[in-house]
Amino acid sequence: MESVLFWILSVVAVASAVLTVSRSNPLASALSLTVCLVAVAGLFATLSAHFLFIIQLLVYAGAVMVLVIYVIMLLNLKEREMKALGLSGPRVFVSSLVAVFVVALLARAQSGSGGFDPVSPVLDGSARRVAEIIFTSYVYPFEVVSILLLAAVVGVVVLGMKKF
Amino acid sequence: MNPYIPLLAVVAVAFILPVVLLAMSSMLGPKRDEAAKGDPYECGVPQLTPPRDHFPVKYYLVAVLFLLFDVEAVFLYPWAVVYRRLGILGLVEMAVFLTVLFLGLVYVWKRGALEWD
Repeated sequence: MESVLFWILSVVAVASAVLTVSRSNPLASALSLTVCLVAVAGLFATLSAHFLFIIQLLVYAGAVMVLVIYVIMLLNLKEREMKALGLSGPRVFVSSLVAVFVVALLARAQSGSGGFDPVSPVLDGSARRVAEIIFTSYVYPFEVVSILLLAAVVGVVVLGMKKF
Repeated sequence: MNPYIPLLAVVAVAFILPVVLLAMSSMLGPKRDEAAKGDPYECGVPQLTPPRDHFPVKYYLVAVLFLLFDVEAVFLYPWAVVYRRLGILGLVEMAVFLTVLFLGLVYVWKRGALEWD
């Protein structure tokens, strides 16, 4: 069951990732990227990383994609400018090269750890387990995250409200 | 029974239903394209400028602020799962975290970043 899900989700993730880089309309790319992120979230769920699954949907497929779509709206490309964004020979070549390199790197990392087993969970990623770790062993980093977010809030307001 | 099967059924319905509806619409619907049909309708006045214009950057400001406070809310989920077990210590931890971010919200409010004009 899990391995069937793994293959379905992987095919969806890879296909939508290819669509993300090959579409010339940025909105079509953004929608493909959303599908890709949701498929990866599904992969997290099959690995029992339920907390990561929720974060992936809420933060990446939700909030980060909102930002991406806002950037597309702000740039407001014309049809003529979109034409230049599609696939071309050199782009396909460079991205294939990068893809082969990443796959080789992953294969090498896998070879030391007892073969290819995509479906058995390595860690307990339930919200309860994650929470126990965050709120006992990592309390100090957790509080520092609030300072980091505060700095980001201030930075956004300072930059976003600047009058040009 | 596998607990994911109901979830998969929902996903399957969510995928099949729009595909079937779009296919039916393209097969059964009449297609009579005319130039005037594609025009944006503005009370019958001929169109002067392209309908899609640049969006002001303040939309982006709201989006980034939403993202940041969304990340804050993310930490509330695991906390809500275990807060009974953490007891008073957990309450203090979360109170410190939320207070720092509340200061951020006060700053945003005072600087007028939430004002639209």
